Amino acid sequence: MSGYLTFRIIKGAFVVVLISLLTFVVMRIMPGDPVYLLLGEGQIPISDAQIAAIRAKWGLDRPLHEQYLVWAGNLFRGDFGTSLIRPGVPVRHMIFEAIPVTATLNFYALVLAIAVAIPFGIAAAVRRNSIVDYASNVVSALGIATPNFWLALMLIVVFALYLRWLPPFGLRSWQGYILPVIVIATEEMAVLMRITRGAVLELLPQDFVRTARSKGLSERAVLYRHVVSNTMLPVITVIGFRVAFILSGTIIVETVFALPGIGRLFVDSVLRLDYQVVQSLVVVFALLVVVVNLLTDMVYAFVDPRIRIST
Amino acid sequence: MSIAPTDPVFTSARDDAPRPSRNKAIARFVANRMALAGLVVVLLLFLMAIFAAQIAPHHPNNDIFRGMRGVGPSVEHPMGFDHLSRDLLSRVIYGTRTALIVGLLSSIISVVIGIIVGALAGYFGGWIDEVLSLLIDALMAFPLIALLIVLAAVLGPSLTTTVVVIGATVWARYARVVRAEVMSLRERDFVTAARALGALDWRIIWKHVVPNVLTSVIVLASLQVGAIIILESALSFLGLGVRPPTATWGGILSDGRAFILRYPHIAIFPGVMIVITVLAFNFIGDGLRDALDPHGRVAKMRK
Repeated sequence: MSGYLTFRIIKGAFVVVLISLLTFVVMRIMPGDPVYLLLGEGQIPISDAQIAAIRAKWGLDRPLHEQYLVWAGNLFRGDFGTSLIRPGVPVRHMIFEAIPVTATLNFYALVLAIAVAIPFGIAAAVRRNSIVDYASNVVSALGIATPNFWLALMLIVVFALYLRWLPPFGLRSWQGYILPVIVIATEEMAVLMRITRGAVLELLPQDFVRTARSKGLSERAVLYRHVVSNTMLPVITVIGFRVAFILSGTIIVETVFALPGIGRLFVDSVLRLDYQVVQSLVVVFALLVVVVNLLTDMVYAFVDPRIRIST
Repeated sequence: MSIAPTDPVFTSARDDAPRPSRNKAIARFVANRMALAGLVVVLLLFLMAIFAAQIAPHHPNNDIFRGMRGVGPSVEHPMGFDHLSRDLLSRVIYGTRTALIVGLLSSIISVVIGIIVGALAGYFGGWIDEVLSLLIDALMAFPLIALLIVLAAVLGPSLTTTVVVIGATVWARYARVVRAEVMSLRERDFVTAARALGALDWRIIWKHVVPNVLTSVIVLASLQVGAIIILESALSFLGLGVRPPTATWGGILSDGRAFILRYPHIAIFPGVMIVITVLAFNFIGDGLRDALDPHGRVAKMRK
């Protein structure tokens, strides 16, 4: 178990280092000289000597691998540098400001998705080929085929424009969260419903279910005590491994609804070429995915003794 | 000595030995009504893309109707006008081209990369496998949209950029499946036989290994086209995909977002087209999976 864990941590660290390295290289090919970006192109007359001085001050004249090591070292100490577009504002500050919005959004979206998907997924599997099953199939097929940004626009049209119940954009009050939460939840719901249904269908014909039935337990008891509890593990794992997809969804949904979370910070920074922020966020994303996947693995191994013993 | 069909040698070999015959697979696909409906819709979409110039009632960019800015649907203009007084129906019809071009070309690029990387990793094993697997893991561990946004911004948004960056980033899943299949194929007798005959590694991979993973790749590819079309429209929606004034569904949706409170009808139809297209490709994919792979070897690929 501990050997397996060490292996996974080392591999995860490798993935993060690899992604940070690739990001660093990609960001250096990005169009636009950072010195000009910093000064605002053409606004201030400067001589070549001054540019060279600025390059030297920021370490831009040093070889690339040295620049990378300095940057990676700073990241490791938690120093993300300062924004190029909002001069003097530390990137770390910008990220910490945005995280609560993204965390709130995704927390409620996941709660909503789980609360709907798991009961319906179980019902669809137990009553196979019934109306519930058919409806859940249609909903999950549609949920997977619907782009989240279009769903977002349609919800804005209905709930903000015609019914006037909710604000269309922004986060002036907590109501601003409702539509974005629904959009992210819908996408996850579609996937979770499929997974839950599949997991229950795989369990139903198994021996321990037949045993539970034959010892006289009611259908309800068989379902809750034996089937549902065994369904939770694959479902939790899927949620854990979907963190990269969830982040993708957040980036788009926050942009559509103009929510000040890390997704929108990311898109804005890319469009404004603020690559200090972009490269820090890329590493934060990678770190987040790797850590969540690692935790999911650990939970899985901890709960399921078959994995613990075989590794 | 006669060998009974229940002989363990036969039963254990049955799992991986005879592939379903082509006729049976076609029969199974045709019997699947959803898959057949998907196929019909996709064929219609292709016709629409090819003959866009003939079908569209107006030019998507050049026909500007003065005084019709943001006017809603009517009989002559069933989808209404956009914020630049252009006919939306014509723009949506032309948008089919972009969606299908990106869906197909990006799929081809990602399939080729995926097969090459997966076959190399699975066939050679060792440190080659370690390095390539790490790359696959890194790619799959990262939010795809974030990667596409950065790459599109670095390379400058255009149709070519969109095709290339999507193709270059979605191959990890193919590579993972191909790698696993090649690893088990490598141990099979016909590969050993080819090696014993002195065949070179690349020849064994090309002649004996690649043809055997194609079924899984085709099934996975048909399931991925829909996802690629959504990625393309997401990039165009963010202004990092195909450049305006080229008509793309994502691009029209981006106009729709900008004018959502004044001209809400702009945002409706391109989204409907995306949903129909993605559903059609997904149904074909499900049908192909059930037809080519009735035992569900590839079934678990789709998360």
